[in-house]
Amino acid sequence: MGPSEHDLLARKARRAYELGRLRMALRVALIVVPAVALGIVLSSSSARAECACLGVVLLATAIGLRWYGRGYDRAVVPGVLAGVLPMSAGLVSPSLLAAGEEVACVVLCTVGLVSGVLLARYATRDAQTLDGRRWFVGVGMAAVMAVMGCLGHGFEALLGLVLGAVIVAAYFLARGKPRSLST
Amino acid sequence: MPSLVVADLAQVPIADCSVSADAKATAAHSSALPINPSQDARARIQASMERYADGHRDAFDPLFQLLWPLVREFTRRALHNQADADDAAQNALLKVFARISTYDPQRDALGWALGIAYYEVLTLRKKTQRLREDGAQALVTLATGTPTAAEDALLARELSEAMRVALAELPEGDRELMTALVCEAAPGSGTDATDVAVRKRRQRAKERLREVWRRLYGSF
Repeated sequence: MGPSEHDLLARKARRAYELGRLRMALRVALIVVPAVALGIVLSSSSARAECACLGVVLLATAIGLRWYGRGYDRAVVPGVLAGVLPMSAGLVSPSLLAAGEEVACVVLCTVGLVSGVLLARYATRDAQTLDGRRWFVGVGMAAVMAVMGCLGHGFEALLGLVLGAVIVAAYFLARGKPRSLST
Repeated sequence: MPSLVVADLAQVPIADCSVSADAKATAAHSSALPINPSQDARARIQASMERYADGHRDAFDPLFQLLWPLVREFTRRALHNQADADDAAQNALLKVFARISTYDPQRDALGWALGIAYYEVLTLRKKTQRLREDGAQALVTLATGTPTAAEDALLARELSEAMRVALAELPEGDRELMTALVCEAAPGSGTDATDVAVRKRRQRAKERLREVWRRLYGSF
């Protein structure tokens, strides 16, 4: 095999890698699209357009991060899954309001807080300290999902999410070493 | 240091590759093919593969430089035919790189890559066998002039005639190449560059023959 054929094979290998990576990245749509569709269907008619726009941004970001890799890809799916909680809570918040504004506020905040805590714990799962990339990507994805659910209803769930993620992250950062999930 | 053999690779599960048990047994029985790089090379392949799977594009060059000779050597030992071995090695390498983003860092990187190469070898063997059983039978009959069994004589004559007609449609150079291929006296056993050129010419001739055959008789 001559040098030119060697170079050609190397180019083909690079292309095969990028295409394989893109195929792998596109699979995230199997999770993001149903989640976004759920948000669009359940959101109020006035918020559907914004919800759809956010969904497109979320999908593009998820695919882009999964394709890019380098640690940014790992938190995409956990972020989206964790975001389903505050998004769903936001979507059902009109029903919660019937039980009282304070109750709805507390429920939304609590659900967001739980998501934030789960994400922050995930970000400290493998590393000796908080994995900033996982934390940032996970919270970012979940926050967009939360915004989709909260459009037109108030942003308590989003507030809870960010608060929970920040508190747990700050705790682990101050502590220096995370506790094992099994303990 | 443990050496990696084809028999070991039969245990490696590879997605998207369905190979019959008899094909596996044939390959495993044919010979043990030790591919035994140094511990250092193995460790560097592992590290590069992990980095590349994680999206670090700068790990491509070292991984490619380390992996390509090993995959090529593996297929060469498995197939005993440089041209087929090169084809299998190239296909295997492209599949390895296409699937690298799904590579599990817990697995041995070299074993994973050679597992894909192993299935590529089996696929090529099966394809070659199928070709021999189908269209190539006509070429063999044409070249040797002796049908394999008396009861097949009529069919063999018809196939020979059909192949003669198809070959007559080919340019002179292609005809010579195909005849040389059937007689297993293909030219170009010299340098690598000559081998590659002959292989490509032969491949193009085969494709042209297939086209002519399809045009004349419908299917190959």
